[in-house]
Amino acid sequence: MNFLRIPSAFHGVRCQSPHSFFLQCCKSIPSRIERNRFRCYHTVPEIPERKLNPLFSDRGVKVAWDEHQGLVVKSLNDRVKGTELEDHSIFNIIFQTAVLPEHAATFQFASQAYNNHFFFESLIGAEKAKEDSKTQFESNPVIQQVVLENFESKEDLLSKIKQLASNTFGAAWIWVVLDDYNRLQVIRTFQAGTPFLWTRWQSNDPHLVPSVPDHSTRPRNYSHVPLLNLCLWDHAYFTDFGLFQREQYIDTWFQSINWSLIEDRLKQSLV
Amino acid sequence: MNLQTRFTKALDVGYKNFLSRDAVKTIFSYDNRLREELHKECKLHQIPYKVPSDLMVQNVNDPRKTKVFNYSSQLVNHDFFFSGIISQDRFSEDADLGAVNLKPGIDASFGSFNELRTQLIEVGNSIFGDGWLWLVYSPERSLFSLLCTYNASNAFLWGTEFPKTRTKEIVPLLCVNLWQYAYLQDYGINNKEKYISNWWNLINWSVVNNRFQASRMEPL
Repeated sequence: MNFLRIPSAFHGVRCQSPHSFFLQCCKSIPSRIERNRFRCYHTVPEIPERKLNPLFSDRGVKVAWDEHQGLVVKSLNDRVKGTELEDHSIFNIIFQTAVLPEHAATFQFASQAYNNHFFFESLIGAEKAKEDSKTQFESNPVIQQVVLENFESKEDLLSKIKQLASNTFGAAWIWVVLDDYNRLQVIRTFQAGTPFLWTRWQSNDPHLVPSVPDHSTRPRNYSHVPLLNLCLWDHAYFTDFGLFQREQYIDTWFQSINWSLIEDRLKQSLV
Repeated sequence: MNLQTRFTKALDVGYKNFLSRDAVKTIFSYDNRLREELHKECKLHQIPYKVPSDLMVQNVNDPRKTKVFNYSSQLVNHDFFFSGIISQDRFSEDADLGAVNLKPGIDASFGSFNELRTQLIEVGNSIFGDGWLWLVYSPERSLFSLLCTYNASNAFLWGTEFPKTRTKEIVPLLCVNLWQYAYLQDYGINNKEKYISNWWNLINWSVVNNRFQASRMEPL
């Protein structure tokens, strides 16, 4: 008897935190089921908000999201097709490919797909922000309390982020993470590093890698939980701001955060 | 000497079939900006401003001076990159002579120039993030090979523990800029392959050959 295999297309499956392992599955099963159809394991999901002026113009969103994420997802699919990682979520792939050097490229693509999606999910356009007061920092008590406990003010958090960003040369991500003691920290990962694993922070400037050991590779089982991230890859600010206008880009980014989403992430992660 | 002064023609017309005038303008102004920032950093750390290659070598392992290292290294890389491209007002015939000289070595290491080209494109395409791709020569093994470096790292300082301008271990011969700003404007974020294959057509092999020959000369 021939069974028609229903392709399971995970629409950008991602986890909100390692503690909750909450998977978002695709919302629609493809309408035409073909027997020998090539299975698309990961696809580029829809981001909640595409009108991200003034942070990203339409062209900016197209470059930084559609094109970049498309390339990353396609490369990831090419690499996992035919392997045992075929059916796994992006989150699982990150953990499983983080160790061996031969999996390094797969890790980079999976991690970048996750990071980019994490970034675009948290953004909101200026107009929407004005209409919807729920997205304001002041309307979200839990995140407000956590930020004020760890930094003097919201502006202090921004200045710490900017300080780290100004010391960063090259493609990187800056994260605001929650550590094991529920403290907030600002960390940086180069290229497509992930904050989930100590060994994959990629926190050292790559040119120091051959000679200087990475002190963050400590043998611990748990990891930091990211709440917020900032994309410092060239393609993010090249289109709308220019190569040396990173500061303006970061300022604008801080105005474009959807704090209600951050609050949700935080609530789900508090142990 | 900054790129604008050295490569004035490129600023006027760009590189044919490789980089448009606007892209060249972006890269050169980025280079200028790096120079300014480097001056500022030197003043901040109270070190005398020298040629970028000296600054790079002197500050390679100092974590407090990462900015000085990064900026000066990036400037050195830019220079190395642009000087390996055929200039717009020189003929390309002498470029091919260089290729003739390199042929035995390249054939021994890669099989053929075509194979080298294929590998350059594949390796360049698989670099994720910002970086540089180098063609280097290893005198110990008498072989050419490819080397990727990330961010502002370069092949000059590869495998060295302490400052040396030219290592005996490997000799950089050629490099291509794979930072996003270099190809974003003309090719878009997904077309790095095209960028690299267009660059291949403009390589000045006589410069590469000169660098290769210079490494094999015995010191006096």
